[in-house]
Amino acid sequence: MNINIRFRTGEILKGIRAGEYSVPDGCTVREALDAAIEENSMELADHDREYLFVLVNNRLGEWENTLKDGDKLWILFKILGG
Amino acid sequence: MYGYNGKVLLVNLTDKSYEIEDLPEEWAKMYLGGSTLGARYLYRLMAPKTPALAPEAVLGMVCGVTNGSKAFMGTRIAVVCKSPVNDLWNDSSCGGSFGPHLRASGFDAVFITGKSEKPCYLFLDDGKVEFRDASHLWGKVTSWVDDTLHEELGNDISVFQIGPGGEHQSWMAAIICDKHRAAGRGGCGGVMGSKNLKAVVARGSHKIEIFDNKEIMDANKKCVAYGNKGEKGEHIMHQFRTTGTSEEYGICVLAADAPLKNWAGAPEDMPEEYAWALSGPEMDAKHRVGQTGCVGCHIRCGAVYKAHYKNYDLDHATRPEYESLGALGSMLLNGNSDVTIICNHLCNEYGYDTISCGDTLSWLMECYEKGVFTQEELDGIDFKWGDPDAILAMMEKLCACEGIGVPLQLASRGCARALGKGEECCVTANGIELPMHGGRFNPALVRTFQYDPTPGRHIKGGRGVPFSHNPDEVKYNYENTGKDDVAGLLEWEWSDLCGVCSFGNFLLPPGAMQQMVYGVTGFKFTPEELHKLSLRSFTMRHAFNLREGYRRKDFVIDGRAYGNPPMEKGPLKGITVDNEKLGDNFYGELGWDLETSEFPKEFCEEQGGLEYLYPDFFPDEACPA
Repeated sequence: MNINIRFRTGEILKGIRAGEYSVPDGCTVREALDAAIEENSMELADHDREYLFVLVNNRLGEWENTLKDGDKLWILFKILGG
Repeated sequence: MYGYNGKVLLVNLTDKSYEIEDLPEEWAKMYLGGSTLGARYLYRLMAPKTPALAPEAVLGMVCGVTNGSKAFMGTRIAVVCKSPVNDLWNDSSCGGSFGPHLRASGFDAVFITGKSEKPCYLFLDDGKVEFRDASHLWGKVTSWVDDTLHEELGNDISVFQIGPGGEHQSWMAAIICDKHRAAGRGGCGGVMGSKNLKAVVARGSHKIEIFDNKEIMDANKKCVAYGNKGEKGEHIMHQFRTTGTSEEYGICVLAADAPLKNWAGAPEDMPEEYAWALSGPEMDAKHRVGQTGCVGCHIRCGAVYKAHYKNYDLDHATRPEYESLGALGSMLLNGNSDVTIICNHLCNEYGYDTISCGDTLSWLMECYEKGVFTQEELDGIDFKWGDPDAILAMMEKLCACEGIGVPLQLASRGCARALGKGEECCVTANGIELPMHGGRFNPALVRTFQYDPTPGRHIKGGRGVPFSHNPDEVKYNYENTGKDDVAGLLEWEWSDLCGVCSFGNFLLPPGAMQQMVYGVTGFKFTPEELHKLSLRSFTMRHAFNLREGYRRKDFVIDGRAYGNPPMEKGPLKGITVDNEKLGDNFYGELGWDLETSEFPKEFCEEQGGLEYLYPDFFPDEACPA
């Protein structure tokens, strides 16, 4: 299935391609992100992943949410307060 | 006494007198500094039921513990007073150079009462106190006053001043330091203006005795290392170094954390490009000309910006902080970065709190949309959502204090009450406009907004802003929230009284602030003692309000802030936060009366340092000798 992923993560995953990614049916948000990271030959340290959160179709999501074809993801830097 | 001058200045502007008191060592250890020490003094110095703008009202400026030391990020000073908005306790924190300069001038705090017959400024010069004529400064913007006083007095001063907003005794007036740092909230600038006090200027060479400078240097090294490559703080520190808090803006709009359209809008109401247009990387690319930061900060999260719009041509404005971007951006459906920067600049120049200013303009926009106010009543301004010309025109009315700008000095609820209409569109907590993190997105903040002694704040303690990242079944679960809510008081009470920037709560490694305080003062606290300190601090600020006659029922928050009624669109559709349950859990965990929010004597005895409250709160019970 195809998932659209956009990123606003500052220096984390800087330069990663935004756009359509082909992922296995029924994969989770985490798996979709990992697929994007792998496709871009990048890495994501665990302590950096802690700084990220996700919107699924413009609603706050979780890493273990199951995705469906056409879903849109935003991977974002966490809100800490300002 | 390590870390302190041991001197507190008490000033009376009416008769131009002053006295210098010794700071009791016991108070230093029990209350440390900032708003906590300020609460101890204000309770003593200010009689209950004193109107906030009366000459008898007291305004305090209290150093944080780390002011005057070499601790990184340790320059924040607390302003304490009663808020003219709601006659409740008010404290507001400010970065910049004034805290260290006040310490260097020989004082740990200054408390000001009375009213000068004519505009004056206070000059604290290496232990000397002078009342100086400010007639040539009155009516002038803060940058002009700052430059003028530096020319008159030299470069080694710090100026803490009000702009024309404070002179008008605006309920949203700020006190400004270094032209762009502000003690913004609660109308403390209006209190200062009510005393005809234009500025407090500090200079000096006093050096506090430091307990162990090696501890401070070690803490500083750990702070720097925290941001090194591969360390946990690497990316957050990079973010703050490059784009400060502005990086967060577009993200918060997208996530529906930042409010839109006077808290009635959803992200779909504003083009997505507007959100990015006011975000750090995009704004920096267009406007940035340099970097800036507070004295003693190794991060330096500020930026110097240029901006141009119509007859405004700024080459030395500052990058707005996240809160200002939300208040002057998404709240107004404004996507014009030049206008946002200019409005932020005007707030700095005229001395207004950007949060209350933006929220008030947003309130007025909604009122205009609904026909509560006509265009004629708004001096001919067609005050439509997102119209940059209209936004600037209204800002100019506010700054000039003319036409509709006159009642607007009272901020949204005050203006509505003065004009007899529009209050149904207000979104406040006890009259204080809300900051740019929403309670419907983060229910934890609803308790803080409603029940903190300073209502309407997101950087007061509790489960905090990051709580918003929990799954819905955690976020919107109102059972057993009290323990974490009370435990969360520590973080923000502690950074305030330490005098360390609030961002230290996530930009500094764990334990850094405690090590800094220990290095400065020799005070070492166990985790239990720290917890007691946070409860003591919260109680002292709350006690001020109780003594005024306020009880729990008086701490109110407008329905839109927590989803009553719920939104009918957007990611937050259908959400109503159980604010009263959160309050019950919070007071229940403290062991306080759920109906009145009064605390029992046993609670005070357990925390210590609260014996001064006993004559007022437990008069029939035996008091300790």
